[in-house]
Amino acid sequence: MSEKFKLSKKYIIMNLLSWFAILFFLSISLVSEINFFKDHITAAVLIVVFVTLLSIPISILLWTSKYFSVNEKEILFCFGIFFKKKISLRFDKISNIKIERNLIDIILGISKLKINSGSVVSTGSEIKLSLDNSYAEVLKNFFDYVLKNPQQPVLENFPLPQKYSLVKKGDALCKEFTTKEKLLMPLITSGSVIATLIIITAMVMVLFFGKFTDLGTESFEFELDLKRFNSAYLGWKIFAIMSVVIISYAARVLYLILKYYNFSLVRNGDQIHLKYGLINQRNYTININKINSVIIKQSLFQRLFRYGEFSLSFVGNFIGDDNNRDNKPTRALIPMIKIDYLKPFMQKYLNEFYKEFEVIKPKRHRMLHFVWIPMLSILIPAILANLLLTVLEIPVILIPAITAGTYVLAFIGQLFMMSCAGLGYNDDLILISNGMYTKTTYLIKKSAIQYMKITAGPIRRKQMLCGLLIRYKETFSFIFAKHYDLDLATKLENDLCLD
Amino acid sequence: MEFQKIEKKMIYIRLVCRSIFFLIYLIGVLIGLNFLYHSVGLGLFIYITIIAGLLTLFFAVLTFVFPFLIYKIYRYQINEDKIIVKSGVIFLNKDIIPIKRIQHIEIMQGPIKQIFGLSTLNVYSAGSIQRIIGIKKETAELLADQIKSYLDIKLEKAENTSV
Repeated sequence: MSEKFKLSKKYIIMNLLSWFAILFFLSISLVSEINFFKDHITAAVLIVVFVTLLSIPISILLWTSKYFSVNEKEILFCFGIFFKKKISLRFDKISNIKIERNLIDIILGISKLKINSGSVVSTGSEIKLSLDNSYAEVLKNFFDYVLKNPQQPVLENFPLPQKYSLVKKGDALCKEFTTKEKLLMPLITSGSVIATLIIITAMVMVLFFGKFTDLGTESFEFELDLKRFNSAYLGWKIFAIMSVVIISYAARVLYLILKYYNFSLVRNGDQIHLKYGLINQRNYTININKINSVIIKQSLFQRLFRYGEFSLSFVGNFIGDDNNRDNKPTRALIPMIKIDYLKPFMQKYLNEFYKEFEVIKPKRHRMLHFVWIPMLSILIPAILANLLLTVLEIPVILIPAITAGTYVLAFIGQLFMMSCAGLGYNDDLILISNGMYTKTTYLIKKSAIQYMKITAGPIRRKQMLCGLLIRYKETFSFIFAKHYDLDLATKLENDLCLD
Repeated sequence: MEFQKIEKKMIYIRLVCRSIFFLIYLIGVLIGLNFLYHSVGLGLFIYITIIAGLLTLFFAVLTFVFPFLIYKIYRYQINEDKIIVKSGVIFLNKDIIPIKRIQHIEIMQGPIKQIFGLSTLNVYSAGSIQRIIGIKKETAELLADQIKSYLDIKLEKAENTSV
C-alpha cells in the first residue's frame, strides 16, 4: 500500500508537553540560582519564550516526519527530520506487539503501539506508533490476526485510521462522523454559509439603516434608508449580530446532529447499507451495480478545509430490509468527507469507481474567458444597477463602480472556473469536474449515459472548441463541460455510441 | 443515412406560433408603457421605453428571422449506432442519443402541425428526450421502424455478447 498514515495529532501535544517539562525543570534550576534570576530577569523570560516558540514548529515537524504504511508483506515506519530513517519489518518477523499507555497518554487518549522484531541488537521497539486508543486496539487486533493467518490478504482487510472516519462495527467497517466534523459541517457547507451571510446582511440593514417610528397605540413604522448609516449603540448592535449568528450556528449543529444521527455506512458484498437520522430516518440499501454516478461536491469553504460532500446517484433503492423497491433515481449523501482520505475510502467502499484518470484541462481562451464571458455576465447586473440607481436617485458615479466591480468578480469567477474544470475517461467511467466557487466532480458510468450534446457558440467555433452536455439516468442530471477540443468531443461521442 | 433536412412547411408553423406569442407580448408591453407613462417620471419612462424597445426588436428577430435560420441549420441523421440532431442558430448544437439507450419512440401531431400534415418524432432514453421536429407523418413512421430495427440488432448483439 503506497498510502502513508500519520500518527495521532495528539502526538504534537505530547511532544509539546515534554518540551514544557524541560522548560519547567530549567526554570526551577534558574530560580534556585536566585542571583541569576534577579540579575537577568529579561534574559530568563526571553529563554522561556524562545523555547516555547521553538517547541511548536519542532513538534509539528516531528509529527509530519513520522508515518507508517503497509504492504502485503511488511509494515514500513519512517521518521526523522534531519536524519531520516525507514524501518521495514516483515509480518513473519514480528516477535510481539503490545500497547502501552503512560499517564500523559491516558489523559490525551492515545496509546503507543509497539511492534518488536525480537532482534537482540536493537534497543526498545523497532516500531513505536502513537495512535488514538481505539485505532491502536483495532490495529493490534489486525496484526495479531495477520500473524495467525499469514495466507490472508493484508491490504484488503487493513483497517484504516479513524481519521478516515471508518470504525469497526461487527464484521464491517463503517463511516462515522467525528465531533470535529459535526462542528465543522454547519460552518462550511454552502447552504450554511449563504444562510449566515443572509442573516448578517438582513441584520445590518435593519440595525444600521432601518428607522423605527413610534406611531403610538402600540404600533411602529419601519423605514429603510440606505443613505443614512445609524451608528448609535454600535457595540450592542455588533453584539446582537454576533449572538444571532452564534445561535443560528448552534441550531444548525443541533439540526445536523439530529439529521445524521447514528450515521453508518457499511459495504457488504455487492451492497452498500447507508443509515442515518433520528426523527426522519433514512435507510438505503444500494446495489453497487445500480449506482450510476459518484458525485463529490466542494463549496469554497470546504475546499479551503479540504472537505467535501459525497453522494451516490443510483436507481433501485431497497428500503429497509423488506423488498419494497423504489425505482426512481435517488441520491444518497455522505455530507462530510475529508478529501485527503477519499482515495482509501473509494478503494474500500467503491472500488468499481476507483480508477486512475488522465484528467484533461479545458483549453484557455483569453478573449472568451476574460473579456466576452465577464462582459456578457455583467450586462444584466449593469442594467439592473442602472435601473436601481435611477429609482433610488443614487449618484451616477456609482454606475461605473458597480459595473467594474461586477466585471472583476466575473473575471475572478472565470479563473476559479478554469481551476475547477477537468475531464477524463477510461473504458468504464467518465470524470467531469466543473463549477466556479463550488467544485463538483462527477464519476459517471459510461453505461448510464443516455444522451450527449455538443454545443459551440461563434467564438468557440472559431477556436475549434465546444461544450459537452451529458445526461445520465438521473432527474435533472445535466452535466456541462466547457471549452474542450471538438476532436475530443467527437472521440467521446463515438466511444459512447459504439458497442 | 446522410443528414436529412426537415420539411419547409416548418418555417410557416414556427412563424404562426411565434407570431401569436409576439402579439401577446406586444400588447403587454404597450399596456405596461401606458401605465408607466402616467405613474413614473419622464426620465425613468424614457429609460424603460428604450429597454422595452430593444427587447421588442430582439423578440421580433426571434419571431420573424429565426424560423428561416433554424430551418437552414436543422439536420438529423439516424444510423445503426446513434441518432444525431444538429440545431441552433448562434450556438450550434449536436444532440446524440446512442441507439442502445433508446427506451421508447413516440410520434406526435399537434393541431397546427395536423393542418400542415407534419409530425414530431420523440425518441426517449432513460434520461432524455430527443425530438425530430417537422417531418411528414409517413417519414416519421418510417424512421420509427428504422430505429426499432437498429435497436433490435443492438439488443441481439448485446445478448450474444453476454451469452
